[in-house]
Parts: sequence; C-alpha cells; structure tokens
Amino acid sequence: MSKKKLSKLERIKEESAYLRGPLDVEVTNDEDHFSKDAIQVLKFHGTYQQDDRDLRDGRDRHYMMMIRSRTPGGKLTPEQYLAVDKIADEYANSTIRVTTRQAFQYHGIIKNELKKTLQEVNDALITTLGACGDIVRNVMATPAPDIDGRQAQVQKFADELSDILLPASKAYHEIWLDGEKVYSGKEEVEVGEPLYGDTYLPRKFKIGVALPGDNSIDAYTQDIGLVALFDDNKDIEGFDIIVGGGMGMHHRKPETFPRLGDHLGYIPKEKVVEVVKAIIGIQRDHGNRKNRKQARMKYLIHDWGLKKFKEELVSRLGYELEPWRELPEFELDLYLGWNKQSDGNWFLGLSVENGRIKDEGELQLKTALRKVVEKYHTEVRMTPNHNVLLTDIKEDKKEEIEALFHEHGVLLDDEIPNLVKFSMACPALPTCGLAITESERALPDVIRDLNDVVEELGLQDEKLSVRMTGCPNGCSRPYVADIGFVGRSLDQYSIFIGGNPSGTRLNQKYKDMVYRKDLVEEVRPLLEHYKQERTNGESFSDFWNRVGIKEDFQIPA
Amino acid sequence: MPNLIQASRLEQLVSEGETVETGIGFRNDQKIFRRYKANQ
Repeated sequence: MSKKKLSKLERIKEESAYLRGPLDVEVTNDEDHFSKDAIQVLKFHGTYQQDDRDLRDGRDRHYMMMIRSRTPGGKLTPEQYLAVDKIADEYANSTIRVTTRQAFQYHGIIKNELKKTLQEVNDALITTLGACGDIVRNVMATPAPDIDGRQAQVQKFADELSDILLPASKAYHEIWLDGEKVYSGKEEVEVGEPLYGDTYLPRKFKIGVALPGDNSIDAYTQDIGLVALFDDNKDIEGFDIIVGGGMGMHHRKPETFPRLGDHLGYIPKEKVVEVVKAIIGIQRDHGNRKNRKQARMKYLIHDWGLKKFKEELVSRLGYELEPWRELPEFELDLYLGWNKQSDGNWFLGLSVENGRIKDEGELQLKTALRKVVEKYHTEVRMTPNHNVLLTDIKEDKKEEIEALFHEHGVLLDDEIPNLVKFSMACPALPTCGLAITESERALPDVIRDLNDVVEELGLQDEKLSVRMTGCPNGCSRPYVADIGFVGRSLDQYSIFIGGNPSGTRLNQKYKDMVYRKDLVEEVRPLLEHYKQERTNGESFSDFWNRVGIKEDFQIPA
Repeated sequence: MPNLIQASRLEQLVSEGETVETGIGFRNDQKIFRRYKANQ
C-alpha cells in the first residue's frame, strides 16, 4: 500500500461533521463567495461555486453559484416545472440547463440569494441534496413515460433507489431549510452515515437504469448500470448489472482513461438494493482516497480485475450472482416527435440544442414550454441527451401544441437535421471552472458547418452523434460518440472517432490539438472515405472500427 | 409550505385517502423522510 497521504478532500469531508462545517457558518456571512473548504462541502448539497470567466479581471472574480437538481429519471410534475421556470427568472440567469444526467441546473445565482433559491426549489418538492459531491448522484432512468408498461416501473424503481441512497445527514435541512423538525414517530433519529461512512465515497458515483434495447442512459458509462428485465406479465423480474464505467480522463496522463463497464451478472429484483449497496461499499472501502484522478470505481475494477471484484462482492453478500442474461442489442432512442403512451395519450419529444432552455431572439423556447405546461398540464421529462419530453397530451391537442411551438420559433423533430439532434455539449465557458475551451457556445456553429458537409456528401440520414466538451472530464459523454471534440488547450480540441450512439463502444483519439476553426475540415476526409468505402448499411462507427482508426491515421489515397 | 414526514407514515396517510404531492427529504439508515404538500 502506498504511503502517500490521503487527499486533502478526505480531511475536509471528515472535518465537515457530515456535510456541515465550514459551510454552515459561511452561509450567512457577508462574503460574496465561500472558502475553498466550504465549496467542497457545498457540492454535496447540490451547488457548485463558479465565477463568470468572461468577467475575470486579474484576481477579481464575479462569483456565482450553480445549483443542480436530484431528479431521478428527469421527471418533473407540471407544478414543479413551472416553479423551476419561475425560479430561473427570479434568482438565476433566466435559463434552465437540462443536463446529460437528467437534472436541471441554474447558473448565475449570487451567494446571498442561494439559501432563498434552495428553499424555493424545496418548496416545489425538488431536492438538490447529493446532486454533486462524492456520493451517489442523480439516478438516471429511461426518460420515456409509460409506452408499454415497463417504463413506469423503471421510473418507480429509480425513485426508490435514489431515496435509499440519499445521505442520512440532516445538514441540508439544518443549513438551507432552517432545521425543519422531523417527524419520526416514537423512534429516535440516529446520527451518522450507515452507508457512506464519515468521509463518504472516494469520488462521485453514478447509477443508471436502462431497459433492454434502450440505452438512452448510456448504461456502460455508469459506475453501476442496471438493465431491468421483465417477466411475462411485464413486471420487473430482476436486473443485469454492469459495473465500472466512467468517462473522465486527463490529457497527458495515460493512467487515466474512459472505460466502459463490465457485465457483472444478474440479480433478482428483491436482492438488487442489497447488491447495489454492497458494490458501493466496496468502492467506499477500497476506492483510491489518495489520488482523486484515480478514485473512480472504474480504476478499482481495472486494477483488481472483474474476478477479484466479484469475489469481494460475493464475500460481502454471502451468495453468488446469477449469470448475465443475454440482451437484445442496445439502441439510442431520443424519443423526439410524437410518441403514444400506454394510456392512449401522447408525449412530445423536443430537441433542446445544447440543453439550454432560454428565450433568445426569435427562439422563445422557455416561454413556449411554460405556456404549454401551464395550458395543457403536461409532465416534463428531462432526457439523458439534454432534451425534454412533454407527456399526457390528448390527441386533439397535438396540432394546437405544434402551432404554439412554431409561433415561438421552436422547431419540431423532423424540422431539425439529424446531426443537430444527435449532438451534445457540456456548459463549459463561461461558468464551468474546469473548462479549457468553449463547448455549449461553440458547438452550434461547428455542428452547422459539419452538417453542410454531411448534406454535401448525402449522409444526412445517418444518425451520427457529435459530442463536445470543454475539458477531458467528459460530461457530455464524448468518448462514446461517433465524433467527439474534447477541449485540449486554448481554443484547441482533441478529435475522437468511432464510438457509437448506442453507447456500447468507445471511440479512439484521431487528432490532437486541432483549432476550433479547423475541426470540420479535419473530419471531412473521414466522412468522404466512409461514404466511398463503406459496405451496404455499415455505420460510421462500424466502418472506422473495421478500418482501424487510430491517432493521426492516414487515409489511403 | 411543505412538511417533512417519515415515508412510511406518509404512505399511511395516502392509504387513508389523503392526496399529497411528495418530494425528497433524506434517508436515515432504513427510514426515508419525504417532504410533502397535502392537496386542498
């Protein structure tokens, strides 16, 4: 065992006394920002301290807070969505950012309004507890409302699992909700963290629940991916379990890498919570707490091997897992356009470019969504591809709703190029402190230039996924995209090629240090070669994996 | 304003016919506390 010291964050977590100090005393002071120690604790409460990097001037910082929701499966009731919309105008920058983990984010909240904002979010019965930090984050689930009896069960399971994996500490309620009293019957409320322990997990921990054939949550990129399997009555029978996925890496540190999860086995439904807790327990006890760049569970499984990990799990459980059950091939369904629900109603999937719900110029998406939710009382589902689904729409309202969106400049499914629909970007500049390059603000131009090439080559019907991030941490899951642009240096990106939209294959680095203005021209020869040489029906991803894409690959003349 | 209540107690209220909207509170070992609003 290395004698290297524990990372500084381990001390901060331990000294926080279950997510309290020093945050608790800094909330009400007159400073415009939190201390370095407090911002680490703040993350567990679902808030990042950021500053507007466009406004940086020397050492001056324009501090502001980002709030992220914990919304399993991305589900919001109409009342909750309307509250989210109102709070965005009142305290944030009048935008709502749908994230790639089915949460919403507010940006631009100033410190002395943070408490009031969190109170209003909680008044809408939405929490932000555990949305960030070294803990189980928002539990993802297939975003579709009930289509065939299975989706609603997955949503219910994700809700329950998320509840069970919440931290036990009441610090969140004490600090933000003024120590609201807890009704606990005659039982005394215990202290401590039975699942997480005094220092929580070594690093963030992600869980998603997929349906067979529907990998919209990217199950192989999660620390734990669960695939719900159903019996003949369409009730959940059990889960295939995938472990050890994760996207983040660091440039020039080959010991860090994106990794797809491994097939662990199958477990009946009644045992799945116990198994999930045991897996979390292994990462809690054996994950790397000395080097945060090596702290995700994927590195533990990489170092140990799946066999040793499984043996440790079995020793904790006292029983074996059943063999992995074969699944149909996964696909990515964005659920855009009109889709029928099992109750005869419809849901409408709207593409939200870069996940940003806002009013800007002729595009009045935020206003249009508010009007539709108000008038038609639709639930809102935030999807893993940062889109939204509006549910429970009557057949005879479909035309009215389409007209309302068109009046507000919002394009519907078949009016948007495939390349735009299948693109994703993380927020990056100016809010994210980790961003090296632009992402959300840059991708719209890049994607349109690239779409011109795609149309010129007649490839517009292909479902090509393009994902951009402002740093290598991979929030938009760029390493499973057909084409990934990953922030590398000032206005320069690495280009990754050959992942697939269904999230079952990692891509390979093709070019390094490419200026933003050159991204499209670097990709063009790959599209041309694919067009000329592909076999019948071969996808871009399959083609480049067959050819063997690698760094600085030379396209044959 | 929402109230906070043990989830099992809330389920009991619902089974007695009360209509509520619920959100998440926190977990304490095996007990889950939920914030809820009773619909008028």
